[in-house]
This record gives sequence, structure tokens and C-alpha cells, in this order.
Amino acid sequence: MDDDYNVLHSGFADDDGQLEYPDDEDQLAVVPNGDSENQRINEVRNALEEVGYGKRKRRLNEVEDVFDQYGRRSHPMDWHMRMETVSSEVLQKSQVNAVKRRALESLEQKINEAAAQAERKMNENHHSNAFDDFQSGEQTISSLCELEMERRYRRRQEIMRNPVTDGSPWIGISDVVNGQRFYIRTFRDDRLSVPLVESITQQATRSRVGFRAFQSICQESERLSKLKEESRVKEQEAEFSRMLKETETPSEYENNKSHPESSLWVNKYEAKNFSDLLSDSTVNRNILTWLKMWDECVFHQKVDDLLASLGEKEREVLHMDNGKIRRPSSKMLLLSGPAGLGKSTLARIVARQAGYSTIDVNASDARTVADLNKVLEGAVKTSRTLDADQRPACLILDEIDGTPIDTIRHLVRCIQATGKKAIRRPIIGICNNLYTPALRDLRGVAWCVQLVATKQDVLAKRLEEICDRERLRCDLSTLRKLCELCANDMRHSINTLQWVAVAARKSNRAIGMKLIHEVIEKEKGGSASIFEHWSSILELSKHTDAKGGIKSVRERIFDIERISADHGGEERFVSGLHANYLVTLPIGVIRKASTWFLFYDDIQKIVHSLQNWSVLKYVFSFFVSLHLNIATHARVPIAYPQLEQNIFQKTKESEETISAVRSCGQSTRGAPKKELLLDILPFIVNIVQPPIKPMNESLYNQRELATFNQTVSIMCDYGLTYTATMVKDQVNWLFTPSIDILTMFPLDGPKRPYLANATRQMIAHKITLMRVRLTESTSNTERISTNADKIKAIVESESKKKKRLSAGAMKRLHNGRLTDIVFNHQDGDSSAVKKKVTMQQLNSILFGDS
Amino acid sequence: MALWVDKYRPKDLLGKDGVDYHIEQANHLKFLSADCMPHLLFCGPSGAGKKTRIKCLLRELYGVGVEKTQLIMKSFTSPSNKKLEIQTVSSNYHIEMTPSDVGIYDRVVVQDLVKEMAQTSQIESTSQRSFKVVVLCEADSLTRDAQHGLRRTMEKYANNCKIVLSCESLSRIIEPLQSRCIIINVPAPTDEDVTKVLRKVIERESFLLPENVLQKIVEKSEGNLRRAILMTEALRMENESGVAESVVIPVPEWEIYIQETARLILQKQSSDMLLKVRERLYELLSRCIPPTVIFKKLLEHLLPKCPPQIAREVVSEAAKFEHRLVLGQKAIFHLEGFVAAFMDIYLTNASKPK
Amino acid sequence: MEEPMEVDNKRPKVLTWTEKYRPKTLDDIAYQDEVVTMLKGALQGRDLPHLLFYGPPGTGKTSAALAFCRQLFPKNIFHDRVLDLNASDERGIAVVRQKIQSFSKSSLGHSHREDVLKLKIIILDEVDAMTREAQAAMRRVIEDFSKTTRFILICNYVSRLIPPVVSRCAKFRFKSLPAEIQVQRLRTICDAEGTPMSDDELKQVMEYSEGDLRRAVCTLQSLAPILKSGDDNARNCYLRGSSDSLLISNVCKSILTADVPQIIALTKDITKSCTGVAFIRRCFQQLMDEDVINDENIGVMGKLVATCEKRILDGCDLENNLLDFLLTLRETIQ
Repeated sequence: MDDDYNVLHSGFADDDGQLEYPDDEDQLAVVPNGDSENQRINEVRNALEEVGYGKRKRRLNEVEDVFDQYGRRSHPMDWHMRMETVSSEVLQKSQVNAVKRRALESLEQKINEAAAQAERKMNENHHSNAFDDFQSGEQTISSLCELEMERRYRRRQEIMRNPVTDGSPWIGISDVVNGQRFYIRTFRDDRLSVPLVESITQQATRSRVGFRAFQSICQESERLSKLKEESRVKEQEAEFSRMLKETETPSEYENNKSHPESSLWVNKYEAKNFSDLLSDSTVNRNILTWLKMWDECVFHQKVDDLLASLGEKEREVLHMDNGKIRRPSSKMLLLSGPAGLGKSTLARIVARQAGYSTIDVNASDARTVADLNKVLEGAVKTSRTLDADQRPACLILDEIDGTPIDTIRHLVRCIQATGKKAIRRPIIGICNNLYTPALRDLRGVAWCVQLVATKQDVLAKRLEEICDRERLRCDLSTLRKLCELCANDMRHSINTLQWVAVAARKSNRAIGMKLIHEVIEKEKGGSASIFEHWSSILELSKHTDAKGGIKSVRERIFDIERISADHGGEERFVSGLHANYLVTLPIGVIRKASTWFLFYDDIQKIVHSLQNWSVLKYVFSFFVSLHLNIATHARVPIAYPQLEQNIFQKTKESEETISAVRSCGQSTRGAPKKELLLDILPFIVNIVQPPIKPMNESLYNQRELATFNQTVSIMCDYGLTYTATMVKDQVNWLFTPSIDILTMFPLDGPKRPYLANATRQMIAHKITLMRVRLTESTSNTERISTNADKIKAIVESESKKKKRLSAGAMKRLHNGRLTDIVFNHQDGDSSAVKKKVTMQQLNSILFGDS
Repeated sequence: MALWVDKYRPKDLLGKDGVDYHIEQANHLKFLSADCMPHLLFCGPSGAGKKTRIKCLLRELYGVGVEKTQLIMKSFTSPSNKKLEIQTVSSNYHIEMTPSDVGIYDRVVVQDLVKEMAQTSQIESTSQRSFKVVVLCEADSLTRDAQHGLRRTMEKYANNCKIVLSCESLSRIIEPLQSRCIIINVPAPTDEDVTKVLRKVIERESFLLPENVLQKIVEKSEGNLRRAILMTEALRMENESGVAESVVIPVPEWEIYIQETARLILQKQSSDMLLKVRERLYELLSRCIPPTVIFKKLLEHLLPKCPPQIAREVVSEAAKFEHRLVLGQKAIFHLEGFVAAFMDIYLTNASKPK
Repeated sequence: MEEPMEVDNKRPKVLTWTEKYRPKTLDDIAYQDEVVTMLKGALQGRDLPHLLFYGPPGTGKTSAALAFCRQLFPKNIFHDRVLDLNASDERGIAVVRQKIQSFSKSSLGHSHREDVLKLKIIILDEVDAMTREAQAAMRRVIEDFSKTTRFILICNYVSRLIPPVVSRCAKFRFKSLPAEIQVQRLRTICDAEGTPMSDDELKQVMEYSEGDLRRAVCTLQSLAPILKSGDDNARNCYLRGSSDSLLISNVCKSILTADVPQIIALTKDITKSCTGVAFIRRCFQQLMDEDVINDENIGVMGKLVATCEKRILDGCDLENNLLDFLLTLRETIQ
């Protein structure tokens, strides 16, 4: 996900650049000492842009181009010029000037108030004090013109104090405020060569244009002000709610607020407080409760009332341990779920809500054991009393599934530590795939919460809000589609939306499905959408030439080769084809097609096993022949290959289950996978669920009791048990490891044995008892007969009878001098005991205790 | 009170609770273990009792001490500095592991762990055996490299450590290894054997089972004793109050599932049916059912149904596809390919005028 | 094995026969004359090229190499002079570069006797299991150190080596041992171990082990206890291949008449008593002898046998291929 994120960001940024600052290069061209002015200009712009839009602002620019054009140099010729103009177009010009004056006045006042609001804005944004004094100076049209002039003077002679000399037409404007007079050259430089008369006529037209521009800008700025009003109201509300929730420190509040326009909407519209979260509210509440349960350890507040408030089912999962300082029994929270549904946000907000300051550790940070220790020491283990500003830290380990296994181990050890070393702060881990083998032991100790994907309509609603805020025309259905396309990935969809918006502004189009597809594919790098490509392989109709006829085979092949060039290696592309290629055709054709997939598989195999990438160039022949086999005129409804991904996930989970069974069972130790999977487990599921009536153990008759015990003991040796898990807010006792999921198939036939929860609970209880007993009994017996003791024994025996050094057969030379000893190492029958020997011991072993 | 499978697993090669069938083979093993033991290679279909015999053999060699096993995760690093772990079960006398768990890295396991085992000799000085035993399960899924790796180890350190391999099909063991081992062939028990064992079990459990049900179990189990016993126990557990004559023998659900899939295939041969089948195949794969097994079972259920004149074609197709499946990567392609091929053959034959 | 005598008298009983009767000197090596003469020559101090031994397993390649080295060098310097790398060692390029180079660079080390050849020998066993890259890396190494070092490469299939390596060595093919030699070898062992055995039994053992002496010895050892115990039925049931030949003849009988379901059933119980890849081959042989497979269909069937064997060796299961074989056979001969 993250790289998508970046891609999108960068892509967006430069797009944005062109969009918002059409005259960037101008600013570059400005000499250093003009910077402060530029800055001011930009400040003003930003101020406007806080509420306004690129489009409007651009209009503003046009206006400036046309009107704020003044000269400075004086020249005898100007008089003549002026006479000229007057003589020819005096009447028209007078009107024009009048219009302009009116317009200018209105413009002035609009801009003033805009600027004034901008000032407010800037102040709360804590912007550069350079801007503040700029604000303090009274802001008039003339000052703006001054700035504009300063800016432009150095590159184009457009703004002059005195009429122009080089024959290009000009307009005189007098500032109503402080009666200066400015002369505007109404031409671009490239027009300098045009003859005079023509130029004058143009001058007239120009001015009209300007007039129209003026009206528009008036409306604009009215809208601006309106908009600003609303947005301010919005902010106040937001602030209010924030006050209520007292979650954010001023600093946080600030950097949430001051997003420049160019920032990603993902950040801009990130959930700011608890109520904004889109994830399932019950889950949120539970997590919050869990955090609150730390209060007793962290804030030294009793949490009993909180516990009391808990419902039955929560209590199953959330309960305190009985330490000296009571902490929740599960010291760590492990959030998992598909990418981009705001796990990190959720964690951060909830932590803030509970009054912690968050310490984020993610994949970007080095995550060796040492680093982890540093962080833990710093954040979690410290239990010094917190003063007002210093909030206690809550460690958030992001992307934890990427962490090396030994780090995880260490983490587990830390979590399980008790007494002095016990952790005193909550830890939240975040991962995408809960079932990465690395996390296995962590899952044992942590409270795992699996977030389901955001509901599509909820997400769509959110997007709609954003659209409203951003003044985008977009209907809900399209947004839904967008969500679907982004697989309900919040981050992805918002990013996409933003980019779509940009694209929409570029080419004034409404946001429609087409546009969205384009954008998504642009982001993917391809020119056309992947769907396009899929269907162009599966359909003939995609290969029509100008006259609507189907292209010749040759051309089609070339097209497809091109497609395969940019998708060839992509697993996703092929699986997409595989998901969609089963069109309604005679099975014989399908058979041919399906064999081509084997061909592709062979190539992949060669590439992966032999690392021989050169064969990849033959992949295209697969696409081509697939096309030639099954492409028809019929439309093929293209679906995104979701199924395969789900299957992949499921497979991982089942593998996890198996290895769990294999590692924890007594009698399954090292039992081959296949045997377990195919023979034993499927039967066990039936065997351990005999029809036992859920009632008190003492009420069972002999036979039932036997069965019951039998069940318990079997589950015990195979390391199975039931644990309470919440399935749609009701507690069920499910198999752990979940062998039932592993072995039960969606059959409609046989009714399966299923034990009542009560019984399961009873069994689970028994099992735990039994386990405890077993560990006690086995531990000491096993310890006696470990190899270490054996080694000790042998060492003693050896050192007594001076045996030959077992590392190799040692023979003294015949003259028996102890000094030169020949070792000759014997491969094969070294009866070596691996043990440390001091030199002195060695002596004693070799030459006796002499 | 364990599963009956474990409860009635023979402890010794011979004697009171000795193995129930292949008696003279057991004799043979006893001889071997008495004399200097060579490397052994047990091969036989699953559920024939390879593991049991190996356990018995170990017990024969080292006495009861060998049953005190402990589970150790041994870690090692691949040449590409990848940290890996493999689960081993070891007593003081022997170690048991399944190198194929770590996939293509099994070579490293053999080169490092097994060799290390072999080099350090038996430390149990009091035991009469001066060698220890390394048991490698699923030897037939060892990669070629790993098997080559074993070759010299088996010769060089033959005095310290005997290697016992257990595999299903001998054909996947490279010749050089075969020639270094004594091959103990454990064929599946005959139906009579199975019946005998089952009788013994139910008699000891004082669980009365109608004769015909017993016979049904025997034939369902297809010479897989483990399965047979499990079935019996499942029956026992499911119906408290005695077993009726007409009880359905519990069969693992994956098999039923495959059977139904086969039924679907025979029922209609079209692309949308193929789509359905694909979903089911996916379902199976996602439950980690090995693709080769799916393949085998599918064929097993399809073949009897299809008319004899196409049988050969089907089979040879199947053989081809299986071969590519074994070599290939994405199982689903191959399975689906086979199904498509079958449908085609079946359909053309059906449409052909008799 | 480098110290066979000592091993023997230390623990005679744990030594497998294959080790115990592994040829100790060049003279013991059976039937590979030209190699032996050449090596003997080298012992007399004639110059020694790089060697490449290849041939089917169990024909004494490794034994020859080891025996030669043992005779060439006295024990005490054996380990300075001989480096034995085999597939049980990690043999990536890195190893070839470092281990071998460092070994061959290292000085010859002092030798007490002057008549010792001033050479070092590197035995690379199972070269065909080495990666091509490693082999490529070896080319240079072989050349660079040819002054001080000789290589003895050992492999089963010379075709798996890259030509440049092969061309640098003197190739010696180890012929698979003919029956009579094996028999006499086995005979000597039998006498030594005191296990009475008739010649035809030995023959049986041999044909089962397909010219692989090591396997033959192994089998012999596995049989030993029974032979000693000397009850005949056990003995008969343990001369392997008997069950196979039964099945085969069974197949040959039924194949002409059987219909498809029968064949399927037949295959099932063949696979139940699991037999190796050799089964199909033997079956084929048998059928040819019985002239069920004759000139017109031998082409088809032979090809099929090859394919099936390939598939099985690639890890397919036997049953399917067997079925394929039988059904095709049935079609072709009917």
C-alpha cells in the first residue's frame, strides 16, 4: 500500500504545481530582492486558496495580466501616442475607462476583504511574521499593483508609470485611492511587431475582454467570502467538538489544521477524533475500553466501575490480571486487517482519546532487538508520575508483520515479563496479515482484533462529504464504484478521488466512471486501464479499426504484444485473464485455452527456479494464442480477480493452523502434515464432538462420563481446545487451532456434530486443568534425562579413566615422550562429545593427574 | 485414553503387543537390529504402518527410553543468510525430522543438521548401541540436492549414525540412496489383516459393531489401517446407543467434496460448469489439500464413470497433466486444465454417433 | 573409512558390509582395469593428470579414488594432502573459490618420507550435483593450481558436466560389473560372513540389484540374519523381486483378455504392494520376452515406458502411469 501512497502523492504534487501556479517560471525569474514581495503575493494567493480554487484563482490572474500593467520609463513619444489613441478611439476608450474604474474599485474592496480574512487565517496558522507586518500595512489595490509591478517590471515591460514608447498600445488607469496614474501596456511582447492601427483596435477588444473578466471576478470574490464564512463555521464546530473530547494537544491541533492546499486529502480529511472513525463502532469502543483498563496502572485510577460497565461478552475477552498493579490480562493489542482501512489512524486516535501520547514505530525504523529495547525502555516500561503536559506514552508498532522473528520473540518475552520488568504502558501492534508465521507466538499473548474492511456505503458517504467540502460534482453511485475499484481501501480511494478531482479540473469534466478508470490506470503506470487490456485480449470488439471492422490478425497480434510488453510479468494480469477467460464457448476451445495457461506456468517456473529471465520474452505468445483461441465478438464482463487473493489468504491461515497443531500436540509431534490433514484431523473433528448433553459433570452417568473424559483426553493429546471468541457480538467457544475450519467443507449433505457452547466451555475448562497437571508431571521427569546431564556424567567418567581424547584417536610415539603427540583425525567414527575443557582438564585427561 | 489409533499402536516388533501383520518382516527387522544395523528405507502407502514399525524398531534398539521425546525447534541459516527453523522430535538416542517442511531449503537441513547429528556420536555411553538413529520422514519429497547431500553422509558416518528414511513411493528416491539402504517394503495390509485388527480393537473396547458395518469400513478404508480405526472410533463416538446396521460410514469431508465435484463434471460439460468446478478446486486448495491428492481422487471418481473406449485417452491425459502439475507452480491451472480436457473428451465421445 | 583397519578392530559389529568390504587397495578394485593400471602407474611416480571417474553407482569410483590416495600418502599427512568434497558439503561458487583455493594454495607441509609425491589431491565427489556456475568457476581453479594440485572428479553422468571441465581431465568410465565378477565378490563375502548361499540365489540378488554391487552387498547383509537362521520359507520370501515377478506374470497373463475395470483393479493392487519405478521396466522386459510386445508395437510401447519412467522420476505417482501403460498396451495389442 505504502508505495501506492507515495506514487500517488508525487504524481499529485507536480500535477498540483502546474495547476495552482501557472506562472511558476516567472517567480523563478525574479531576482533575489524581489522575494519578499513574491512571498507576499503567494501569501495572498494562499490566503485566497484556503477557500478558493485553482480555477477561480486563475481567472484572477488573467485579470491581473490584463489590467495591472503599468510603465515607468518616460519618453517623448508617449505624448504622441496618447494623442493618437485619443484621436482615434476617444469615445470608446472613455467608456472603457469608466468601466475599468468601477471594476477596479470593486476589485479593490473585494481583494481587501479577502486579504483581511486571509490575514485572520494566517494568524491562526502562525505564519511568518514577515506576513504579519505586511498584513498590518493597509492593503489597497495600489499596493497590490505595486507588488505586481515590482514583480513584472524585471521581466516584461508591462506596467509603467509613463506611457509606452515602443508603439504597443496602452491604457491609462488612475488609482482612485491615492491618485497615482498608471499606464498599462495591453499587449504581450510577441505583439510588439504588429502595426499600429491594428494594435489599437486590438486594444479596444482587449479591454472588453477585461471587462467581462471583471464581472466574473466580482462574482468570484463574493463566492469566496461566502465560502470562507461556511468553512469558518465548520472549523468552529470541529474545534468545539474537539474541546469536548479534550483529545488533542494544541500542537497536534495545529499540525492537523495547517495543511497547505498541496497536501494530500488523506491527511487533510484524516479522522480527527473518535467520532470520525469509520471502523465498526463496537470494535472501537472495545479497544478504547481496553486502553482505559490501563488507567489503573498508568494514571492510578480505579477502573472497577469501567469493568462493571462491561457487558457479558466483553468481559470474556477484556479482564484484568491479578498483579500487584493490575493490568489488562492481555498486555498488547494486535490490530489486523486489510491495508488502508485506517488501522494506524484508529490506534493513534484511540490512544489520544484515552489520554496517551503515541510513539510510532513503523517499518521505516530499524527493528532489531536492540532498537526495540530502546523504544520499550523509553516508552513503555517507564512508570514515572506524569506531570500536566507530559502524557504517558503508548507504543504503536506499525507494520509489525515485517519485523524479524527474533524481535517478535523478544517482544513477547517483554510482554510476559512480570514484576520489575513488567511493561507499564499499553502496546498496540498493527499488521495486515495476522497469520504471518512470525506473529505466531505473539498472537498467543496479545489480544487480536481483526478489523473487517470498511463498509462500502460508509466509505462512499465519507467520500461524498469530501466532495462537498472540495466542491466537486460527483454522484454517490460513482463514488461507490470508486470504492469498489479500490477494494474499499480508504486511503487508496481517497487518494484516487483527489487525483480524479485534479484531472477533472484540468479538463473541465464531471467526475465519471471513465475518468476514474483512467486515473487509476495512470497511477498503475499503464496508459489504458487494465480492464481495457483484459477485454482487448478476450474480445474481438476491442480491435476495431476506423471503419468499425475487425483488424487483421497481424495487427491484433501486434496490439497484444504491446499489451503483454507492459503486463507480461504481472501475476495480477494473468490471474485476471484466468478469472475471466471462461466465456461461453465449446468446451474444446476452452480446453485449448486452458492448456496455454500451463505454458505460461512453465515459463514462470523456469524464471523463478532457474532465475532465467530471458524466457520472459516468450510470454507474449501465451497472450496471443489465448486471444486467437477464445476472442469473440461477444462482450466479456470483466471482473477483478478477487477470488484468487482470498484463497491465497485462506491458504496461509490453514497452513498456520496445521503447523500450530503439529507444534502443540503431544501425539502429533512431527506427524507428517499430509497424514494429519487427510486422515486424522477430519475424523477428530467428529470424534471429539460426541452427543454430550450440556449439564453438570456430576450428573453424567457412567457411560457419558467415560465419553466425556475420552473427549477431553483426546483433545489434550492433540493440543486442541476451545476458546471464547466473539462472533458478531455473541460469544462462541471455537476450536483453537481452528481445525474445524480446516476440515469442514461447504457441503449440503451430512449434518455435522456440534457441541453446545456450555459443553465446549466445560471441556475447555477440563483441558486447561489437565494441561497444568501434565506440565507438572512431565517437566521434572524430562529434565532428568536431558543430554546435558548425560554429558556431565560422561565428562566425569572420562576424566577419571584417562581415556583417549575423543575428538580424535591419539597415539603416543613409541619412545613415549609426551611432547610430540600425533593426532590424526578420523572422519567418520569420531566419538566426539561436545564439551568445554580447560587446559588443565585436558592435561588430566591425556596424561593422568600427574 | 488416547485415540484408539495411538492406543492400539503396537509397541514392539514381536510379542504380546507386537505388530499385527507382516510378522516375518518384523522378524527380519529384529534380526537386523540385533546384528549391526544398516541404513533402512521404509516405503509403503500411507496408513500401512511405516511409522509404527520405525517406532518399534527404535524401541527394540534402545528400550523404552526412546519414548521420552522432546520437541525442539532447530534453527539454521541458508546460504542466502535466511534464518529458518525446523521442528525436530528427539530423544537421547534418535532424532526425527521432516526436512521437506522447509521446502527448497531441505538441502541445507541435510547438509547442516543431519551431518552434525552424524558427526557427534552417541553420547549415551551406557547403551549397548554405539550409534544413533536419524529418522527422516517424507523422504520422497526431498529435493534431489538434499538426497545427493545424504549420499556421502550415509557412508562417511555410517558408524555413528544410521539413517532411517520413510517414504511413500520408492521411485522418488534417487538410485544412489536406494543402493545404500536396505529397502523395507511395507505394503498395505490386506483386508483380512484390517479386519483382524479392527476385531481386536472393538473387542478390547467392548464395543459391538455389526459385521456388515465392519466389512463396509474395511472396504472403505482401502487398506489404510489408520483410517479404518479412526472410522470405527468416530462411529463409536457419534452414536452412543450402539451402531445400527444401516449406519453411514464417516468419510473425511474433503473426499466427499471431491466426489461431488466429480459428479458435477460428469453432469454437464460447459464453461460455466467449469467455473463452478474451479471454485470448488480453489476451496480444496485453500484447505491445503495437496494438489496431487486432489488429482488422484478426482481421476479415481471420474474413471469408473466414463465409457471404456475413452478410458485410455483420459488416463494418458491425466498422466500428462499430473506430470506438469508436479513440475509446475500454480496448481489451479493444471487441475482446471485437466478438468477441461476431460470434459472435452467426454463430450465428444458422448456426441459421437454409436 | 580413511582408517579402515582401526575402525574394524574398534567396532567390527556396527560396520555395514558395504563399508567393511569396500576395497582398500587398488588391487581389490574389481574389473576396472585401465583405471587401476593408470593409478598404479601414478603410484610408481609417473605423472598424474586430472582425473574424471564416471559410471553407474556402485562400480567403485569413490573407492578407487580413496584407495589411491591412501596408498599415495601416509596417514599422517593424508589430511594435508587430500581434500574430499562431496554433495554433503555446501558447494556453491563461494566454496569452490575459497575452500579449494585456500587448500591448494596452502604449502605442502612437511612429510617425513621423501618418496611422497609432491602433490595435493582434491576429490570432488558427485560433481554432477554441483551447479553449473560452480563448475564454471572450477575451470579456472583447475588450471591455476595444476602445478601443485590434482583433481579427481567423480560423477555418475558425465553429460551433466560442462564440457570445459571434462576436457581438462582424463576420463575413465567405470563399467558396470558383469554378473560373474559380482557373483564371485558376493561369494567371497558370503564365505567371510559364513552365510551359506547358493549361486542362483546370489544371481537373484544380483539381478535384483541391476549391476550395482553396493546394493547387492546391502541386500546380502539384509538377508544375512535369515540365512544364518536358515529356515527356508523365510529365506525364499526374502529374496526380493519374487513378489514383483509374480505380479508381472499375472499382468502378462491377464493383459490380453482384461477389460478396463479389471485393469484398473489390477493396477490398484499392484500399487498396494508398492513397487518402484523398475516395475514398468521389468514388465516391459517380460512382455518382450513373451513376444506380446513385438516389432510393430515395440516403438510405441518403448517410448511410453520411457515417458512413464521420466514422469515417475519427476515425482508423479506410480499408479497413474502404470494405468496409462497398461491401457495403452491393451489398446495396441488388441
